[in-house]
Amino acid sequence: MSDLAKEEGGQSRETLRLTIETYFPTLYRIAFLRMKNEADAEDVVQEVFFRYMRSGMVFVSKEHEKAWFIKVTLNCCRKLWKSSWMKYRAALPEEGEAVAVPETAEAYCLKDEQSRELLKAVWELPDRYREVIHLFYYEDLSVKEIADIVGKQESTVTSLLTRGRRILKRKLQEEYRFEEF
Amino acid sequence: MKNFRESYKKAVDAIPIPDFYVREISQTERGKDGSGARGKRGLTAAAFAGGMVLICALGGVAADCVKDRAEAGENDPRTAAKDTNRLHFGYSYEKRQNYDNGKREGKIYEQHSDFSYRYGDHQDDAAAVKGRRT
Repeated sequence: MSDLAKEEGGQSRETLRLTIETYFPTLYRIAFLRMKNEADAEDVVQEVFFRYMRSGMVFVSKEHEKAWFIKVTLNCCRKLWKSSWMKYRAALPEEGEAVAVPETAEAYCLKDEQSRELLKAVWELPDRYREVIHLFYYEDLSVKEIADIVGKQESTVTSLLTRGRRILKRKLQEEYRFEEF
Repeated sequence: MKNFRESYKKAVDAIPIPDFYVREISQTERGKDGSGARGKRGLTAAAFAGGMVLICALGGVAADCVKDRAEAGENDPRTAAKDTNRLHFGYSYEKRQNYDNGKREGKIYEQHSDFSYRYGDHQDDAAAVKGRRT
C-alpha cells in the first residue's frame, strides 16, 4: 500500500509504522464511505499518510492527532472527487438518486439484514450529511470537534445532523432511537 | 427500539479493511531516479543542444559562402555578360559595351578564337548574326 522513504531525523520508522497501523482502519472507513469504492479509498488513505510524512506535524494530544488525520482524509476525498478524472470517468449521480452499495460491503452485511439496510440508508445520504453522521455516531466526536474538522460552525453541524437523522428515519423501516446532541 | 449508534457501529465494523503493508525504500533504490540520474540527463541534453547549435552555425556559414560565390559569379554583370556574349555572339564584352555606350569602337561581330572549339561549328550562327545587322 505505501512505500516509506527512510526519514533522516524527525519521525522514527517505528513511530511512523505504529501511527499508520493505528489510524489506517479509521481513515479507510471514512474514505470508503465517502468515495464509495475500495480503490479510491486506498488511494486517499495513502495520500493522507504521505502528507503526514512530509508535513512533520507535531501533535499536542491524541485528540488533535485524530482530528488532523480525519480532516486531511476528508479534504483528500473532496479533492479526488472534484478531480477531472472523476468527472469524466462516469456520470455523477443526481441529488437524491440512490447509489448502489459496493458489492464488498453489501456481501459482508448479507448475514445481517438489518445492518445491510442501515448501511445502505446512510450510504444514500448526501455527502454533507453522511460525513457528520459518521463522525458523530461512529467516531464518537462532539459537535464542536466535528465543526473544527469540517470547517463549519457548530450550529451548521447541528442542523446537518438533524436533517440527516430525519432522512434516515424516513428511509429505515425499523425505528431507531437517536441520541440527542 | 434499537440504539442507532450501536447498530451503525456494528454495520460499519462489518466493512472489510484491506491488508496493507509499509515497505521501506532503500537509499540506493531511491537514488536510481534521484539527482545523479537527473544530472546525467541534463548533461546529455546540454551536449545535444550545443551540437545542434554548432551544426546550424556551420550550415549557415557554408550557406553564406555558397551564396557569396553564387553572387560573385551570377550578379557580376561583366562576368555574366562576358560569358553570354562569348557563347552567343563570339565577341568580347568590352567591345560590346563600348559599342552600346556610343563609342562604337571596333566591330561588334569580331569573333574570338576560342568560340568555335567550345560549341563546335558555329560559323553559320555567326554569319546569321552578321547578316542581320548592318
